Amino acid sequence: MKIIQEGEKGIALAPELGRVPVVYKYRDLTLDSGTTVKSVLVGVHEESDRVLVIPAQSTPRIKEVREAAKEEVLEARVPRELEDILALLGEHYSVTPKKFSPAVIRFYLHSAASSPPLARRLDKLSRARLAHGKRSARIRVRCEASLSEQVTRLAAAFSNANQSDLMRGAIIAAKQDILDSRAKRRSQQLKAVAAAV
Amino acid sequence: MIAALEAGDFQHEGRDTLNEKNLLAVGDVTETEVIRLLRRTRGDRYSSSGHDWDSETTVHVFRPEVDGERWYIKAYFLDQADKSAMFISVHK
Repeated sequence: MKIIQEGEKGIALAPELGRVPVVYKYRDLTLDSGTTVKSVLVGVHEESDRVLVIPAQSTPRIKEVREAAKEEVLEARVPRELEDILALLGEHYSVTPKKFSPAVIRFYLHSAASSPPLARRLDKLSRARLAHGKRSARIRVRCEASLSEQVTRLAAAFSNANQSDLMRGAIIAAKQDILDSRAKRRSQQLKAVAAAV
Repeated sequence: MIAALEAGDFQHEGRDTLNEKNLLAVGDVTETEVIRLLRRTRGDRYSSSGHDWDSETTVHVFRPEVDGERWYIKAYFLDQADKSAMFISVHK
């Protein structure tokens, strides 16, 4: 992989000018969609100040920003007790709940999308007593658009469920599996998730 | 072109903004996938022409049909040794 350094010089084609010199600089790059990638290496024609070249090494940063722009947010109002459960799960794996809690919910929703028994379980748990306290807390989980679509499809398969119900079900399922030690394999998987966040 | 991709010695043409139809530039396809497409381009699916901005620069156009999908790959070389490739488009 060729790595170009800031300040290196090169050649590019420019409209009406043909071959022109460029200097590689880190600067903000605008994509066709209007999304801006902050501080990425590009080749600039200094006379016109135009970006004429984007080196291959800049692609991962561009991809990351495009993926983030596609992210969606899953949201649910939950009883405070479910927030307590998420905090206890973080404590169980010795990680901060702020990062781990969304990962737990994404893990269950993603797993449920490919496991009808788990999906049915989340639906059932969303009607458990714990899910029906006063819903005075709000949980927001950032996720890729594909997961959001899967959860919407999943919720549509159950007559009385929506996205928020499945999120509440996911938290209660995590309580049973981890805090009540009902699912050793899933506990191991979540240990790996905790180590990765 | 394949050697440039294998060596990671390639860039993308910008026109102030980045054309998101260049799927290689935005990371929606990898260089390995583009190499596969180039290898599967039949002779009659290749053409070339001068670049609009510099008629001495030859633009190579590949239109392979792979797994039922038609691809469009457009790139050129600016260096005399044809080592470093500049991609304009990689899209379906």
